[in-house]
Amino acid sequence: MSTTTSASPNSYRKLDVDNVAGGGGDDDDGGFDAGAADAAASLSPRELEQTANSRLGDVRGLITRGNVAAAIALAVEEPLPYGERPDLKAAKDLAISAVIEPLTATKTADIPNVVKQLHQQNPELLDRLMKFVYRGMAGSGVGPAGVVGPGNITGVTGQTAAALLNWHAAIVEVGGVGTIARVLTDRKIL
Amino acid sequence: MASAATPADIQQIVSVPISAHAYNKDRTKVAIVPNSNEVHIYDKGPDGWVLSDTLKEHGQLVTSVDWAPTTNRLVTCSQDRNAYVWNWNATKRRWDPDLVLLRINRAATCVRWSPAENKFAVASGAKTVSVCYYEEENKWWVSKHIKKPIKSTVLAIDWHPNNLLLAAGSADMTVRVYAAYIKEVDSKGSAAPWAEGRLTFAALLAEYDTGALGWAHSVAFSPSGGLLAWTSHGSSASIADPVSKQVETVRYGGLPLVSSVWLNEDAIVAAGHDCYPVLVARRSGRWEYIDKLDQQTKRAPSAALGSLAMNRFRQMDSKAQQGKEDTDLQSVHQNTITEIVRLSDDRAHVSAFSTAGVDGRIVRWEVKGF
Repeated sequence: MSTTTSASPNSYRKLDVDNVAGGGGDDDDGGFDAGAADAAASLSPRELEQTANSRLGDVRGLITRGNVAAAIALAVEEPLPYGERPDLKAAKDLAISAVIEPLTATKTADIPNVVKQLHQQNPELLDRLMKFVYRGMAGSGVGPAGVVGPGNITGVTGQTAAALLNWHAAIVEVGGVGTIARVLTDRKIL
Repeated sequence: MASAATPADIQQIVSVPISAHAYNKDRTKVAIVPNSNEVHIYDKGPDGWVLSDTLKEHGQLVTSVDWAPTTNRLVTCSQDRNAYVWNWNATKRRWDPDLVLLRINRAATCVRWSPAENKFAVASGAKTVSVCYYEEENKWWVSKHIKKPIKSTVLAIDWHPNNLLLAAGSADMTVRVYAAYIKEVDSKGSAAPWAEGRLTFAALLAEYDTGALGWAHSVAFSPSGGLLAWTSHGSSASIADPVSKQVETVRYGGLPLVSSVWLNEDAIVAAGHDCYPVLVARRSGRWEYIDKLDQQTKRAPSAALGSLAMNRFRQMDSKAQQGKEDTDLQSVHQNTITEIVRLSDDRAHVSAFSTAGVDGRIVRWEVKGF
């Protein structure tokens, strides 16, 4: 069905290059799934949900004691429920709440210090935190039809989004734009 | 520690992006790819580089070029799925192309001569690395394929100094080390610590998942061959040690680093979208980002090309600007650096390197104090 004589300037986009090049697409030994994430594959969705649930409790405890930095460090710890499987939704919502809650509980003036503290502890923490900041701003993605922006994750409101922007600025201040580049390349998405 | 790199020679060679470049042995000639299907060879003259030859054989964008210093041969590869080896014909005073049978059905992305110059490797979008060598009986270049278990385009390759191993960085977020021993042309040698015992072609010796850090832009063995470094699109440089099985990752605060070379066993210079080279080095046993090597505090000197009117026209042409707004970057390169190449024969004590950029400049950097 494909014709190369079509006058359309974009017709080459529909060209089956494997057939043109000869050898007829012999390279079918499994393509690469750029969206695949294998983290925490050893844990079942139920186990991940339990981990996330108990962690949320611990994080809330740390927030009440005023130790936001520790709460964030704990919340972004592995294992996290990566991947797009629908059965991970409950675990994911809990894991995201566990990060968003300490982020919104922090006073704006304290944010830069907390970020610096996390960076000193382990620069990788900033990368993971940045991932949650973006995830928080994206909302749940499964909100009611027509709703743009923050969806139905508990606590993600316009106010939360404002706090997340402050965190975003503070993280870039300390970790550089490299932290954004790493969120973009990360395949382990929430 | 007083370590510095000085831009010793800034040359605005062309007004288009330079995709790749390579020097001959004594660095009196440079081959550049001006973002087209041609390769231009410039000779060093008293007033800068002068175009001496144009290699036209490829049908599409040339993606990579490498110059074998001792045998004085060029190899080029292109999106047209071909590679050519170019030999200097002294009687006719021109470069003669030799087609290489790559047997790939996607664009070739990167080509590198092996240190002994008896073979070269071509990375490609066909999820393969073609290792090519010259078959004396038939008088042509043939290739053997490394295929497994590459799942996506191979973007970068580098030879181990022992001529037997090859590193490949791929868009499937993996960096791999292969045996590239070809019994027709190679003598046996040791490949420790990467491999023990007899080498078989295409044997996978090490595999590193870049994980969250994206695809590899460049791979490079250390001068001794004992370490492997790569830079990936997640703005980072990683260094793998096959003995301790440890991978150390340096998280860089700037934009992704697309090319890298080792200055010595403890220092790597890398560059990319930030338009200046940066130093990553081992200090008291740990790899870390040290600093940028371009310490320009004011505008880079525009290469003196013609008159004021000429400059103004160039400004309009390249930046669509009419006025005198100062948008020049505070770096020697005014756009992404596409490639770094080593300018010293001694891999373990590199004293100079060259960068080529999207701004059409090539810059020679002199290094001291490392």
